[in-house]
Amino acid sequence: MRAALYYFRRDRSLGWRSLFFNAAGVALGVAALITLELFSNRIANTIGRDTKSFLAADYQVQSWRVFTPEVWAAIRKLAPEKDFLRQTDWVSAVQLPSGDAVTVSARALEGDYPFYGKFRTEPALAMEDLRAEPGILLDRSFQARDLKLGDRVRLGEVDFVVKGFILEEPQTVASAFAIGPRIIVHQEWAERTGMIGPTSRAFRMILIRSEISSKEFASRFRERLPDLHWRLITPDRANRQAQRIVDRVSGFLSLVALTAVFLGAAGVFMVFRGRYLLTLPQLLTLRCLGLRSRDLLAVSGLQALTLSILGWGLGSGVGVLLEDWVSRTAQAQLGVALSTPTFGGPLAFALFVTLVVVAVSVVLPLRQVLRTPVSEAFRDSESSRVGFAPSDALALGAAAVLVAALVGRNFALTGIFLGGLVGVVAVLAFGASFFVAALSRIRVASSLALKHALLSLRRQRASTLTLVVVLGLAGFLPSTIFLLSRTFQSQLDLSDREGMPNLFLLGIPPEDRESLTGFVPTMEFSPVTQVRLKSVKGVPIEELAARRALENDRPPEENAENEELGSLRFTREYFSTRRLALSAGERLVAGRALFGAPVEGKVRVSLESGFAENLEVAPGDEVVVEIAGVELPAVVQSTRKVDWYNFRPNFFMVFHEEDLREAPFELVGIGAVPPAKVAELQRDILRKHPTLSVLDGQSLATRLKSLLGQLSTAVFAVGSFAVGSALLVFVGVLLARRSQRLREVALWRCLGLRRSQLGSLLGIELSLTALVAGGLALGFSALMAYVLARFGLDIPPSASGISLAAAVLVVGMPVGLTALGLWLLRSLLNVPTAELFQKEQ
Amino acid sequence: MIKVKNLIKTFRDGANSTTVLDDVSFEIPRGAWVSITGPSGSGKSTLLSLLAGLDVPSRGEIWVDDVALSQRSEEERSALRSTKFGFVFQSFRLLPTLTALENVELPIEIALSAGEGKRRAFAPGRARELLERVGLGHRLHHLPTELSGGEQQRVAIARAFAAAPPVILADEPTGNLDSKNGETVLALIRDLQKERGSTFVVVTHDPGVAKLGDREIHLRDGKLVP
Repeated sequence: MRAALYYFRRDRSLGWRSLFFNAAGVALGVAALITLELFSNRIANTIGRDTKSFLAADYQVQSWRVFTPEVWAAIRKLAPEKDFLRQTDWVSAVQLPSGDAVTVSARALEGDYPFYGKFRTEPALAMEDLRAEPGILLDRSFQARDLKLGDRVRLGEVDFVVKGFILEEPQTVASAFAIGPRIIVHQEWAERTGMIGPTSRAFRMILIRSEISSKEFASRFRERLPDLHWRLITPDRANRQAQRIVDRVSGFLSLVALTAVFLGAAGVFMVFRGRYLLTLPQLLTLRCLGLRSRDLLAVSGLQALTLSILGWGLGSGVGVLLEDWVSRTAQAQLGVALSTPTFGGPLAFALFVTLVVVAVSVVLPLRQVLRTPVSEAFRDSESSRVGFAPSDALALGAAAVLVAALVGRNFALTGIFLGGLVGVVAVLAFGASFFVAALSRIRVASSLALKHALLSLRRQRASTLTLVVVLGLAGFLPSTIFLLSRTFQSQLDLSDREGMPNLFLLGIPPEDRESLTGFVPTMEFSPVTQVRLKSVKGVPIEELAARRALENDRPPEENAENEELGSLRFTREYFSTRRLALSAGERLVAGRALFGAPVEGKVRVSLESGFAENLEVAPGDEVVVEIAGVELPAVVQSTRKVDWYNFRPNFFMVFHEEDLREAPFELVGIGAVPPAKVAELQRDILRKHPTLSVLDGQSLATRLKSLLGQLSTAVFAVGSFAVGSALLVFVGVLLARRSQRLREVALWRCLGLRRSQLGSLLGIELSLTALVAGGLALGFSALMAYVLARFGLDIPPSASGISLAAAVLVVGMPVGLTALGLWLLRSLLNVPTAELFQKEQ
Repeated sequence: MIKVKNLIKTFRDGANSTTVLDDVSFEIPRGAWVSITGPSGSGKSTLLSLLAGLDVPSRGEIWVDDVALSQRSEEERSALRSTKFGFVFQSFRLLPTLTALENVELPIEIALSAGEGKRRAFAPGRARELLERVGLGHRLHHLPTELSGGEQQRVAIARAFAAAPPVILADEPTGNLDSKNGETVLALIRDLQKERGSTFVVVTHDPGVAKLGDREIHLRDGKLVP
């Protein structure tokens, strides 16, 4: 060990610049990882601290149905009247004094709202201030539409007076993802709008204040209301659900960040491999002098430790600063005071990840040195090679799996990610190998620079492959995200798609159909009836739900909750329709037709294929459904594949027109109208039918696009760390190979090669490497985006954005990297020939 | 012909300056074999660099076939090197990514790219022929790492003669070889030099090599010793 320490202290073969770039390559990934870990930790702490504030109560009871007298009776036994209040959420359109209509996220509240959390308005008001006369609170964004206090807006059948603007509400975070700006009215006036009747699609809640413990409250609640449809949200449960979402999102983003760490590690591997090649004679001499293998390993270990600590230190510093900025921005945008994160865990975790990844990258190439017989010291050392053995790939793979499993925190997600990563790397490596093989077949006689650039790429195969894989991976990640988000956005761009519905009417009483046809003659109507499943193939739905919940892999203590969730999925109300034929965007998966011959005593139903798979039913099987309190046996006659992104009303269950003629229903209508006319029609329809929810499809699509844009921005931001790491790897590898290039350049110049020829040679070599990496990244990301869209997300693939991606990857990237590479290697071109010759000596 | 007149080379390092070559003058006729000898630090390698146009003298002048080197730009000197000089180094200095054949073809390609092809017709297969001449016809497609030291130096000799330069400059060509390989290499150089009428300037410590020349230039402390 003493010898190892001595050599470690005196070894200067790794220059400070190379050390810095290697450390920086790793540091970028570490910074991304720490930013995400700290931010998710901060969010988790905030959720833990503020759950009741987010819920605005101790407990919430939620349902899409109107609360029945039994529910109210049960609640009254659990809490006194003053300790509960109602909340109702629905999507609607509000008419402004100008006549314009705006799609909004409407909320009705009452009483002493909220029990917890902040509710601030300008001017300061309480919910009861909106009770005496119909008052409305508007989101601040309405001020930009010139709305002021005292103005009148219409919601349904009620004219409301603008009483104030909302500054802060307990569920501000959720509002950020809502479909439209928030408006708040009093519960009593909301009921008079005619928009939240028993058949309306409104989400209803009872907020409860209670000092009873969660466990006790949940137990008493279920005792009185065993129907799992009445969903009880306790702080623990809300906390766990929020935590699960945070974990899933941060786990995925952390895996993207881990790609940056891996790329940095690939750079370390390349540089150390090159370094061992250069210093092999020294290492063999040292072994000849008696330095043992374990001493050399110890030296490598110490170097890995130095590099890790440097990389981690740099990354931690950047990560902490960056997270601070991110959290400040999030606080400002969401209006939520976030907690302080716990630093110890994320920093220690990042250090561990860095140590593992760097140690593997530094020590692996040394194994090849140790395999070289010491007797090589007496031979020409250049005949020795530091290669890459299959066992190295296994060791790298094992380290990657270990680290990714720790970072991803979710086996399925980690598996998919690692599988994808390995696949991408394999494809890039295969593509790069093909490129190198193709180079050997190219015979160029005319250009000296081109010929020798090709030869150099071919002969330095390992370096070419690594650079192509590293740069290709860095290009692939953001390109795939970009292409996928553009596919989504083009799907949501209704203005470009003729015949796509862009006007949606919900909650239409059947008698209004004729009048609405007067507005839009081509309007398509679908009757909608609420249906619940009671049993499937003779098994009661609650039993089926419980069985499925237990099959899940969640911890036992969550099983009860899981059972409820599973149950909700099966027992909820399904908005269903009745008709005779498939609609646009549907195709038959099983069954000879949508419906067959009538079956005595049973109604005929067609199920959405995924829903049928979930229930494990096929054509011919029987289910029992409940419609308006009446139980009806039904026979499944077909299953359908539904295009859920077709902007039409889609249904899990479709019944035969004749069989459901007696069931109560309301209509939903869709219209494809000229985009310029949507606002006018929305306004005119609302004037005549104020209780309808008339929604502008384009504004909904725009809102969805914006939410999607935010999500892709987050992934992009993390992916950019991988791009940064790849750039640093590129720089590190170029700098590390500079000394070798110096020897070559000296000889080239000595033999009479001009500077311009040398510049061309280097430029061609760099641009070809980047071009192949960019081309592979483009091709593979386009393929991946296509596959994900077509088979993963089930949306029509789109070529939107491909030209921009191509411009960046096959033009911008080669030009940029060539310029950067030539700038980094400019000293080779500018050093006087004699000096090169002296260095070469 | 090479003509060196009142050559002085001084290196400066801050306030200190060292004169490596001090008023050196000599002439080398076409087709001669000249050995430059002297102890370490006497200025042999510096003189070789100056003769090759890799560096310019502080004072004095070098003419190669009536071309004054110090009056040419670096790029012009590069072009001149590709047509006027061949090089043999002590440690071979082959490009590790090129095969033996490609290494030998390299000076021809550089000369062609310098426009020399228009004036001088390079026979196709010249590189192959040279490698066969030095006994490496069976090693054409081997990388330098796959060749022994003696073989590498033979490739380097073939490379030096490839573009048919009038002058070959060699720096300790047998320094890294055993005596048998050293003798083989010297014999090859001798034969090729005679065949092609090249001028051969060799820097050496080895008295055996030095005495092979038509003339010996001995340097001590940067000065020519008569």
